[in-house]
Formats: sequence, C-alpha cells, structure tokens
Amino acid sequence: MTSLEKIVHLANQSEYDCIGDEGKIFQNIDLSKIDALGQGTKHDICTSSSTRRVVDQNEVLGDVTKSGICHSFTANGRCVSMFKTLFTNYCTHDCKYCQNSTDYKGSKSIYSYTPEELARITISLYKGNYIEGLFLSSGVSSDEDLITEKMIETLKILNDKYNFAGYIHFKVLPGVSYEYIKQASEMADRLSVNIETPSKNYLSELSSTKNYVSDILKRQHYIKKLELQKELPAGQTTQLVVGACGESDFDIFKRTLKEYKEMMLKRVYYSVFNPITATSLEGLSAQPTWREHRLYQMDWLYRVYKFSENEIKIAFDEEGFLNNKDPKLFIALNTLDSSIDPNDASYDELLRVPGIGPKSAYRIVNYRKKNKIYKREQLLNLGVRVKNATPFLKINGGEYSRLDRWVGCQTQ
Amino acid sequence: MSDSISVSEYLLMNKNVPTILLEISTKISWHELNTSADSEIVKIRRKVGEVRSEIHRMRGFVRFNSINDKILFGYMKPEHKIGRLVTDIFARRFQKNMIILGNDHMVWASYYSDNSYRRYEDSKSLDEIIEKVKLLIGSDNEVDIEKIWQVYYDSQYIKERENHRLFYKNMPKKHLKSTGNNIELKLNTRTLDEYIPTD
Repeated sequence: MTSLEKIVHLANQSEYDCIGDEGKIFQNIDLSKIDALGQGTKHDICTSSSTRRVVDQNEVLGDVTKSGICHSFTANGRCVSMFKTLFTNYCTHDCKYCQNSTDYKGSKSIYSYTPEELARITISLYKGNYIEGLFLSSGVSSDEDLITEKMIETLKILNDKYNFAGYIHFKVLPGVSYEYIKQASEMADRLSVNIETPSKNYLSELSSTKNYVSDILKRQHYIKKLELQKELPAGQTTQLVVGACGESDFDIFKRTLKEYKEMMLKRVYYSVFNPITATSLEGLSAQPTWREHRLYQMDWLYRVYKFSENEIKIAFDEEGFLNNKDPKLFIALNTLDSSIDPNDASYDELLRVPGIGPKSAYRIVNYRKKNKIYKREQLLNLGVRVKNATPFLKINGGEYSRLDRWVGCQTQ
Repeated sequence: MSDSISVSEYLLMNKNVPTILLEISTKISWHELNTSADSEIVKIRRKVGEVRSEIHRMRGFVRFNSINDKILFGYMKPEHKIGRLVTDIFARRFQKNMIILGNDHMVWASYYSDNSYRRYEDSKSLDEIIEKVKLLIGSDNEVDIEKIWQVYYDSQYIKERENHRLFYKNMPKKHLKSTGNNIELKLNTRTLDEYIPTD
C-alpha cells in the first residue's frame, strides 16, 4: 500500500494541461442546446460500444472493451452507452419523417456546437463515467463537407489535446467527399451511413433531396474501400426506418443481405417508424415495436446462426411480412422432420433447434466428447431452454411425433 | 479480463462460497467451467457469473465527481468483494488520475501510471477521506456535470417506446443503490410511484 498523501501528490503533479476552466465552460453552456441536439439523435439506435481496438499505450485517457458497456438505460429500456448528439440541427434535406427537415412545420431553434465545446463536454461526461465515448451525427447544414470538417475537428481535439482513447462512432452524412470519410476513418471505431429505406424508390418517396445511389450507397462503398486498406475496429453499420413507406419485411431482408454480402457491413439496425408532430408524416400510424424485434431475430438467424437465405425465407408470409412469432420456431416446425439426437447431431443441426443457441450448442459439442446425454437435466445444466427444445429432441429414446410437436409449440 | 484472472480468483470474490466449491475451482480451467454439465461446476459457474455481472454493472453505473479534474471520486458499495478490482480497472482507464471509490465503511483508492498501480485502502468513510484529500491539495474545486448529464439523459427518452419492464430489468434498484446513482434512481422511484395508487 502507498500512503494517501503520496498518491494525492502524484496525481496532483501529473502533467495534464486541461484543468482549471471546466467550471467556466459549463456555466456558459446552454442546456437547451444539449437537449435539442441530444433529441436529434434519439432515434439513432446503434449504441453498441464494443470494438476490437485494443488500448495499451501509456499517456492516454480512457479505454474500450470487447463487450461494450451500458452506462445507463432510458425509460424505454434502451442502453445509453455514448454521448449521442448532433453537431447541428440545421439541415437542408426534406426527409418527411424528420424533425430537422425543411418540411417541418413546427417552430424550432437552430443550435450548433463548436468543436472545442463538444470535445470538452465529451471529456467531462467521460471522466464522470457516464459514457463510453462519442456518437457524432449532424444535420447537413448548408454543406455536408463543411459541417463534416467541423465534426472531424472535434475528433482531432479529442485526440490531440486530450489523448482520448474512448469509443467513437462517426456518422458519414449523405454526399460527403471521400477525403473526409478517409480522415474520419483514421480516428473512429465505427462509421455509418443511414440508408433509411430498402431501395431507391422507397427513399424517393421520403426525400426529394437525397439520392439513394450517389449520396448513400456510394459513400458506403467508400467506407468499404477504406476498410479493405485498413481495418475499422468496430466496422461499418447502417440503419433503416421501418414502415415509413409501406415496404415489406422481405424488402428489408433483401437489402440487409446486400449490405452484409456486398458492403461488408458489421451490423444493420432497424428502427420502427413513429410519427413526429409537425412533420409531413405526422398522420401516418406508428409501427408496432414487435416488428423491429422480429427483424432483429431474422437478422440474427442470418448473421450469427448462419441460416441460409432459403431457410429464412420460410418465415415470411405471402405479402413478405414476418408475423409476431419467433421466426426460428416457425422455421423449425416447417423444416425439422425427425427428432434430433444431441449425442450425434452436428453443431449446425443443434443450432437449428429452438431453445439451443450458439453458446449451448458449443457446450453440448464439447460435453459429449466425454459424456453421454441421456436426461433433460444435463441439457438444463448446459444452458439449453429445455422446455422449448424438448419437442425437437430425442432424449434417451423418447421423442415427439410431428403432430405432438405442433401441439406442444402452440403455447410458445 | 477473464484470461488474466483464474476461476478460483473470481470465485473468492463472491460474498458466500462453500469451501468445497473453492477446492474444485482451483482445478478447473475457463473452458471446463464454460462447458461442463456437472452440478457442482454449474454452481461455480453461477457464482462466478454473479461476481462478473456485478463488476460489469459497477463499471457501467458508478459515477465520478472530480476535484481539480485529477482526483475522481464516487460512491460504491458492492455486494461481492470486488472493490479493489473495480477501483484498479478505473485507475487504468483514467491513468494519471487518482480514483477514490467507497462508502460509509470502506474506501479504495488507486493510481495507475507507467504500467504500475499505487493503492490505498481504509475502513473510514468516503466523506472523511474526501475531506482529507481536499485539505491535502488545498482545494475544494469540485466539477459537477450531473446537470448536463440529466439534460442529455432526458433527451434520449422516446415516449412511444416506453418499456418499464425492460428498464427495471436493465437497471435494478439494487445496483443503482450500490453505485449511489442518483438520477436514474430518482427516475426509477418516480416511474414506480406512477404504478402505485396514491389514495
């Protein structure tokens, strides 16, 4: 143990050139600005702070983790892990669902941060352990390149002045030049462009100023190109508004496949449409939150469980929608003809059983090298949701008929 | 983290461990812990899980105020014996800052620089230690950004997506109390009150 005096002395003399004026900065700050620019990002749902970057240098402030950390949750139950903010809420696009749109009929005040101010707030929240880092988005202002330059200036201050090593998610605005994207890619963990809709035609229904191919897909392609040269620690992601233009879940699924296969995306995020007062779409009804949930399950089956496209297609109805049921169960009922013996099924076969996930499938495969599985309790101890899995498994000779299985799963 | 700390080291941090489990835990690897269906090892897995889960929550929910921007202090009263570990994790995250975490009965301090830790522990109260530190550096210039946080936190709320069940699941009162987390605890109580008829 070191004495308290000694540690206080060490901390107090360490070189740190940013002390003294914090209090003053915060006295002058306009809280309604923090509120307005924070609200501008509340529908941006990518709050993950997990990254593959490893911080091992001395003389830096902060670190990152593989799992990410939630520092709070809103009353929506959603994770708050970053200071998610717009740089400015001034925007010259006319997206019909958005409160920063030129079509917006309500009254609102225009706010902007200065790079210095935004960096300072980020550092202070970070040192208070409220956040893992900064999620920086913005209205495009009068010119997307000019505002991006200021956003990048913020990252530079964080980097050069504060030696900040925490997490950074940087939004690439539609139409931004390659050179700026390249600069941002050198400082950010994650880059994203919001595609908003599954195709060109759907986007043109929502906005007359954004071009799907040249403003959005082309920028995604730039990011992919940069990623091929140098790994982006937390990859590229995107986000869709679900249900603002009548698109089906299958339309979304097709786009999602392209995003993963052609653009090398790490994640696609889905946000169900909720009408905002005084926007052009205020009269359109809100989408049920479960639609988002089922889309994520579909996404998971493809990305994590490695289900094939054709298997997943089974879950969509004739109009191309998912119903409010677990798609994995639905697929299993329609494809698993005979019961599966956990003692000899492959990892992939186990994964297709409802109630068995990647972790429990991995455990089963390892466990059975030395043991025989003959009772439900063993599966329970391996983390299987036995109630869901039993109708599909052969355990010690016992198995369900196909009919029993349908009946048994009715209640799930 | 799990690679550098052994199964039994984690288990030892649990507030309540039978000796028999401790003996078993010294003989098993992380791989065995994760794949076994043996009922004793499954018990160990749960106990280790409790510890790791509390560490994770403390890393998320603890809040710091600062004195002179170099000394970060906050309230923490964990259920398991993780005070030292969590304080060190923060010291490493905020290198060259002094980290002080504690409650009415125990204080842990840590300072990380040039790949080594300086540590201090005391069974005094956090308030007492903070007063002492302020005297030592001759300053009580506290930076409090709770207000900025509150405005930002409220800005993220979407009325149409209210989901109290999920909120309670993710932010259990137990953890908010053990990190002295005022803002969310207030919200937590406020929203709970709405469900209790006042008359």
